[in-house]
Amino acid sequence: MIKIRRRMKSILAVGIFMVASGCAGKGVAPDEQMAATERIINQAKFRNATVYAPLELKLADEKLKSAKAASEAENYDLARQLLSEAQAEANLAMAKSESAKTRQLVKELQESIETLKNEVERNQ
Amino acid sequence: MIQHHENSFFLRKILLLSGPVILLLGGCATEPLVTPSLEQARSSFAIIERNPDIPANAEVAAYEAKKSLQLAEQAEDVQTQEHLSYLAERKSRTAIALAEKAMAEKQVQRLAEEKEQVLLKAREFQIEKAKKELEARKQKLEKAGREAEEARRQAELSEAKARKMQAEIAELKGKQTDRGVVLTLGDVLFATGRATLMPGAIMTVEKLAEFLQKYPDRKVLIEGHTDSVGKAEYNMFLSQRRADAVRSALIDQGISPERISTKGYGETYPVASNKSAVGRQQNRRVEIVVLNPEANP
Repeated sequence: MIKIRRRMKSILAVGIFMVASGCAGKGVAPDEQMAATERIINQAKFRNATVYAPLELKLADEKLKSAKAASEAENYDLARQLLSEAQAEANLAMAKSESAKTRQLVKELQESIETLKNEVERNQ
Repeated sequence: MIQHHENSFFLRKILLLSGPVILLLGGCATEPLVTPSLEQARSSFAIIERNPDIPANAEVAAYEAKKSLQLAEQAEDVQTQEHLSYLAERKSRTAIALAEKAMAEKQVQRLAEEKEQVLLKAREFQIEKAKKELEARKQKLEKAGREAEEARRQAELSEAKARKMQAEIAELKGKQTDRGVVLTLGDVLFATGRATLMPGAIMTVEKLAEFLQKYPDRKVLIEGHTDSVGKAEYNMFLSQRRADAVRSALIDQGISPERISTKGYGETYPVASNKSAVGRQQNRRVEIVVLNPEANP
């Protein structure tokens, strides 16, 4: 009970502080989201998105850059929006790359089966 | 059913009537916002709705795309809707790509199994082929063995045949020469000045016929000769007739006429001196040449 009361007190204090300092509209910088977005973009690059989804990857990079600029300008809401867009783009790039790679594998398998079958037929 | 239908009809009427009233009262505030970016998001999501394979293969991503689109649909200002539509559009495409990936993975699995099967078949085929080759080689060897045996048998047979023929030639009292075996029918076997064979000659002709029947590849050349007594033309004529007489006798014994050639030489090839009676007798003769198989008369 005491704990809850203490927490409520601290929340109240922060609220008062924010109102007082005039920072209420800006909020906190989305540093964590920024790092997460960078991780996803790197992951996409690691999975050959530069080859299989170059446009999506570029858009994700651009959104990340814009988000950084917005964050520096203390426009955190815009930064958050841009970051979630960059994440969606990077996730798409990753999915596209994985799909393309798997389909390529399908094609290779089909070709090797075809070759094998032809070989068997020729030997008959 | 009818009741329900009537009810819904009634309800629709109310709605139709109340629509303008609401609009009038609330202004345009309730009219849903539709930006071009929302339309783009809708059309990307429509692909998922049209294709049941996509939610089946990317369930979570498809659900997230749907939820995201719903949020975009509910947005009240342009900027928010554009942002949410952007997210929804990407999520729809992500769901599509993930479904493609999942389906391709299943295909990879099927193909891997198929490849395994094909490889197995290829191996079985190779084994089968090797077996066949082995069998063929075995048969070839066996055949070669049989052929060698046959050749040996044939060689023995022809050797025996040759030995037998030698014996038979000996029995004919023939003389082996380059052209073949030469038998000589002496003068005593013909009536003087005539071409008919005496009974003593018949036995020789019969033996010869028997020999020729046994060796159908042999041909004979019959040559008539005389001594120098009398006119040369007559001797030529007589020698030819005597040779022909032997030929007729052989034909009578069943020998094909094509195998027999005749020639009268008259007195041109004496084997002894015509000065003595003994010599003249030796010169009056018919020679039968049993030709070697390759020789022509």
